[in-house]
Amino acid sequence: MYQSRSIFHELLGIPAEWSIYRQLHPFSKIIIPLFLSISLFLVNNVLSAIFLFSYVLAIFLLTKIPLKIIKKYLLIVLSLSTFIILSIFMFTPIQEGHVLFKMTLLTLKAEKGTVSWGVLITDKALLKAFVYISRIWIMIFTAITLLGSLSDREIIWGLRSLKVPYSMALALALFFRGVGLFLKDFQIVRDSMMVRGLDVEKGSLLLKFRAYIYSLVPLIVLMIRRSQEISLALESKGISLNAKTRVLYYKMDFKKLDALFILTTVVVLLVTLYFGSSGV
Amino acid sequence: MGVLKVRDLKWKYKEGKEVLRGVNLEAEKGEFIGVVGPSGAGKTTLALALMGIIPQRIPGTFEGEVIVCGLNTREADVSEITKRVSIVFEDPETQFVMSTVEDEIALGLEVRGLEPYEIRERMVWSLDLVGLSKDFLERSPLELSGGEKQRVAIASALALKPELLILDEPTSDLDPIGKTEVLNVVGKLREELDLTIIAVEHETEALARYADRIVVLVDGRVVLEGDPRRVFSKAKYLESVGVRPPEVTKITMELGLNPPAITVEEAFSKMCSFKPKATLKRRDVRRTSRGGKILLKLENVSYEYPNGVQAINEVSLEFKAGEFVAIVGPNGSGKTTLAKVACGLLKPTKGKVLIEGLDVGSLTRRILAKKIGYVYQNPDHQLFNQTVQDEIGFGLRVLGLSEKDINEKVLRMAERLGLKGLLDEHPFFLSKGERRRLALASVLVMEPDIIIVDEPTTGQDYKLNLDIMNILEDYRREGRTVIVISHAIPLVVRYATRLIVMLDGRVISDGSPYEILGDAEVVKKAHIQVPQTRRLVKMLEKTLNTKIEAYTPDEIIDYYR
Repeated sequence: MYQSRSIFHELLGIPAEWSIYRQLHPFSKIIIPLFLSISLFLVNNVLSAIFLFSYVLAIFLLTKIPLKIIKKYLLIVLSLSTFIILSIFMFTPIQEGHVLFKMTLLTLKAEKGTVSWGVLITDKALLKAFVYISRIWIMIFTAITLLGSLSDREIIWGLRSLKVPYSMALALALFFRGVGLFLKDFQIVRDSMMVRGLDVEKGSLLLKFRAYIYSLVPLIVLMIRRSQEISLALESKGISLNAKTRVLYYKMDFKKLDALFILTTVVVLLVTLYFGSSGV
Repeated sequence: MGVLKVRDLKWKYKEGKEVLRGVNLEAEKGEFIGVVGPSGAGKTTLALALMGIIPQRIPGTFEGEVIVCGLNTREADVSEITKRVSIVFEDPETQFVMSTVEDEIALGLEVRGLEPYEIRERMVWSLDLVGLSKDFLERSPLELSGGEKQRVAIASALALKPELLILDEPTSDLDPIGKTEVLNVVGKLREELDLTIIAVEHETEALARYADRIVVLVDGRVVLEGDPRRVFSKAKYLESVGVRPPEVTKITMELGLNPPAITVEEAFSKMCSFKPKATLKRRDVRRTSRGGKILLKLENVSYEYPNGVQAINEVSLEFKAGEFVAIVGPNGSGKTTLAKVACGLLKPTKGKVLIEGLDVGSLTRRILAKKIGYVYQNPDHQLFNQTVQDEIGFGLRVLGLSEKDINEKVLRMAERLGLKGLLDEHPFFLSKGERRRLALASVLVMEPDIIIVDEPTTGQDYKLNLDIMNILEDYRREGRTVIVISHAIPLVVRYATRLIVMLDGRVISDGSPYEILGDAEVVKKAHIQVPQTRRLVKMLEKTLNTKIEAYTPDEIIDYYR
C-alpha cells in the first residue's frame, strides 16, 4: 500500500518503512501523540515514567522510523540530562532518602553561622533525576512519532476530521514545508558568507553570532518572498482564507485498528494517572 | 469569440511606481499570444491582473477594465475567475504546495467540489496531456526534474479545465531538456485543445514557432503587436529594449533577405542558394586561445553527498588565467557541486583541488576569498548588509583592509557596475537586475583570480544578460579566469573560450565552443541547446560543402557580407 512521505522524510531525508501504525487514520496519528503529551504531565514517579516510556517506545518502534534519527537528539538529551543531574545533586539537593554520596565543596563561615555547598546524592534524588530524564525521552519519542508518521496531506485530513477549518489545516501543512526551505536557504546564505572570507565554521563564538545576525536579513526577505509566491499559487488555484471544501478527494475509513490504538492510549493515560498519583 | 478584453489598464503598486500604464489587449478563443518584454516591463503584473489577483488581493491603484471569460476582474471574486483561468508561474519550486503530485493536482479540484472519482479522472487526463503517466501521482514534486515539475504544474492548471491558460515564463528556470519538454507540451496543447494561451516568455525562438500573435510590453505599455514575423522583423528595436529576437530573423534581416525568416528551416531555404562571399573576417583569437598559467586544478575529484548521491565522479580539470569557461549540462549533472568543491565549500570525498598548486583544504577562508570567488544564482542569498556600500565592502572588511582602501575600491566597483547612485540604498529595495549586479560586485571587489558565476542569466532580459556577460568579459581581459555555469548556450558561446560538458557527475567533453557544438553525439547526450546560428551553419556547411566557423549571428553575417 502506498504511503506518502512523512514530514521527517521531507525535512531530514530519513524515510520510514511501511508500518501498521502509518496505515492508521490521520486523526488517530494526531490524537495518539496528543494523549501521550497529556500523559507526560501525569508522570510523577519512577513507575509511571517507566510505564509511559515503555508504551511510547513501543509506538515509536511500530512506526518503523529508523533509530538513527535518535542520534540527532542525543546531544540535546545528554546536555539536558547533565543539566538536570547537576541541578538536582548540587543546587537543589534532596535531603530525603538514603545518602549515597556527599561531598562539601565550599564552606563559608559567617557571624551568624556556617554556609556549606557541595554534592549530595541520595536514592530519592537519583529517582527524581530518572523521572525528569524519562520525561525528556518521552517528549522526544512522541514528537518523532508524530512527525515521522504524518505527511502534510495527512495533517490536513487529520485536522479536517477534527473540524479545523480547511485553510488553517493547509497553513499548518505549509508551515512544515517552509521549515525545509528555510533550512536550505540558511545553508546557502552561510556558504555565501564563507565565500567572502568569513570563516563561520572555524571562527570564534562572537563571529558565529555575527554571522547568524547577518543571515537573518536574507532569510527573512526570502521567507517573505516565498510566502508571497506560495500564496499567489494558492490563490490561483482558488484557495483563499475562506475557502471551503465540500468533499475531500481521499476518503479514509476509521478502522478497528484505529479504535484499538486510541483505546489503548486512553487506558495508558489512565494507568499513568493512577501510577503517578500512587506515590510509588 | 472574445475570451479576453483589457482596456486601458493602469496599475500602481501601493508605495510603488506605476507598472502598467494603459495596456490594451484582446484574445480570441483558441488564440496563442506570446508576451515579451524586458525585465520590469510589467509582464507578471499583467498576468496577475488577468487572474483578478490584481486588484483584489494586492494593494494598489487600478484603472481601466479587464474582462476575462465574461467576468470583470474587479467584480467577480478571484475564486470565481480561477474556475475559468489558470496560471503556471516561473519557479516550479514555489508553486508546489503539497508533497505528492496527486495531492498537488487534487488541491485545486477539491475546492471546486468535484467528486473523488471525477478528481481522479481529471488527474489522469491532465497528466496524460503533458506526457506523464499516472505513475507520477505518487511521486514527490521535489524528486522530479525541472521539466517534469513544470509539466506537473501545467497538468494541475489544465485539470481545472480552464478557458484561458496563462504561462508566466514557464521555461526560464529550466535546463535545455526541461525547456524542450515544456515547449513540446505547449505545442501539443496548441494542437489538441481549443484553449486560449497567453505565454510570457523570453524564448522568442519558441514563440516564433507556436504563437499566433506577439505582444511586446515595454515600461507598462504595449509598444508592438502583430504576428511573429512582423514583430520579430523589428530586430534592432527589440534588441534596444532588451528583447532578443530569434537569431535567424536577425541574420536574414541583416542580409536583406526579406521577408525575414523566423525558423532555422526558413533561413536555410533563403541562404542555401548562395555561397558565403568571404572567409571569416573577424576571427576571434579567444576561440583558439588556451590561456596562461594554471590557476585551478582538479585531480580525480569525486564528491558524494551524505545521502549517498554521487554528485561528481573522478573529475580532472585545469583552468588557466585568461580563460572564459562555460560549464554546461543538464540539471543534476554536478555543475554546482563541482563549483562548490572548487571553492572549498565542499570537501571532496576523493581527489585533490589545487589553487596555484596549493591544496584548497590547507587555505584559510580569507586567502581563499582572494583566490576564488563564487556568485550564487539567486542574489538574495548573498545580500545581508543594510546598504549597497556595506554590501560591496563586506568582504574587504573581512580581509582587514583599511577604511580608506575599502571606500576607494567600493566606489570604483560601484561605478563599474552602474551602482554608484545607489550606495545608500538597502539592497533589497533594488530591482532584480541591480541586485544581481550588486551580488557580482560584492565578489568582484575582492579581485579573486578566479570567479565562478552560477547561472548569471536566469530569468533576466537580454540586455541585462549582456551587461553581466560584458562585465565578466572585462574581468577576464584583466588576466583572470571566469567560469560560468549556464544553460544559455546562445549567449555563452559569444564569450566562452572553452566549454566543459558535464553529465551524471562526469566531464564528457571539454573543448572550444566550435568543437563541442560540432560534436553531434555530445550535443545529443547532454541535451545541449544548440543556438539557431549553429544549426543553420551546420545545414549550410553540409549543402555548400564548406566550413563556416561562426557561432553568433554577427559572425555568420560577416561571412556573407
